[in-house]
Amino acid sequence: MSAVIETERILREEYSGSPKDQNENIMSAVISLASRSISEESVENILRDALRNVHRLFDFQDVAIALKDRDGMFRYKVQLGLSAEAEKKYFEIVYSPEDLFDDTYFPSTAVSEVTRFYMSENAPYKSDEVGSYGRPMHIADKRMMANDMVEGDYIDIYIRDWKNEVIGYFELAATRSKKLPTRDTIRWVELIATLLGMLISKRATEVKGG
Amino acid sequence: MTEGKAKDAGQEKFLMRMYSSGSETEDEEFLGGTRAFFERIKGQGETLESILHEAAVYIEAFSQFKEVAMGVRGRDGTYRYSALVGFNREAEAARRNISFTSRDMKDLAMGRPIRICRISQFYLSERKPYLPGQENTFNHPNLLGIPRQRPDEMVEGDFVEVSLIGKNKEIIGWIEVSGTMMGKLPKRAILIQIEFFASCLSLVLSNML
Repeated sequence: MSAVIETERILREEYSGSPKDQNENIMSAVISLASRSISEESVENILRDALRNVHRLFDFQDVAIALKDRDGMFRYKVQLGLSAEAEKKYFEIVYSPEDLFDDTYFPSTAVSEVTRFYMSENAPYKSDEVGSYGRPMHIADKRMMANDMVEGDYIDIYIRDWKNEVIGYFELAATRSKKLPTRDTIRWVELIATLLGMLISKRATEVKGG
Repeated sequence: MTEGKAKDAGQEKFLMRMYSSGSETEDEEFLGGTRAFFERIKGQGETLESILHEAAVYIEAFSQFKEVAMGVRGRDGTYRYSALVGFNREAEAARRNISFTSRDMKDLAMGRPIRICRISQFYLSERKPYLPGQENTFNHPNLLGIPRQRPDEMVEGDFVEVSLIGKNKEIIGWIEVSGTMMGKLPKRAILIQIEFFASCLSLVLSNML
């Protein structure tokens, strides 16, 4: 058999389209997401598609995306994981740009330029927001191990526009494993947030609240 | 903190150690590098040409390929090479003189490529994936046609093409990579990364072309 025939066999068999591992599976899903989003006109549909993928591909039970409205205030637009009752309260929450970066009411740890961890021990919420949590009765549960993820913990990953202004954020909470997400997971969502920001920034203010 | 809530210093230290320090895996490096690429091209008044050039340089940096060529559809509807990295002067000049029609872009008869991964085509040198007279578009035209000794070799004339797909699934451009550092077929993971990067780049280019 000539070498080129064998080369063809290698290419067909070892470079087939089916994902071989979790990383390829995520890449494949994001390629599909990007492909659909290019021709999608509705920002809301793009957000829902992105959120569904983050919810499916990674460990988070509760995921949401908030966007900055025309009035400059941030409101949650789409979420997955919360009960209808919690969702109603969640969609009523309004943050000013100052709130978003306010370490007094919402103490956080910036682990990268665009990612902040809010840990339950620091009570990163206002008292009237407790009802928007998925499992509010567990909000005071103690963390047994440093890498546990407990009710009350959440992560915000900023979505920025072409001018690098924050126009929204992913909010991620409650991992299925009950452990903090891996570093890979955070890098993935950061990248998806960057792409989303480039894609929607010109149309972000067109989305209606809740 | 002047009022309100105190941070748990131990937990904060743990988070910083877990997420912000230590060496990164290859996957983390690629994800971080790709995000940094897109952050860099945002808001800098970048032109289409500069974005394509930076993209070609970035692909060369993270992949095993020595040569990266990128082309896009122009206003007249024809496709031309726009960014070339790793080519000698003659090959680059020859490539810049070529244009393709949209029919050419969809024509897979020439070179009979093998579809690999998700959206890539592998062109084998033995199938002569170039028109007569275009031998000078390669860095080493004198090596074209020399039979492959081993099936896992990547030889002069082999290349991988990844399409850039825009709105309504139209081809808006392409990425072509060739010449691996060790002269072997590229790793599957690298090709998947190039496909992934191409899809992300298409998001940006689709609004510019």
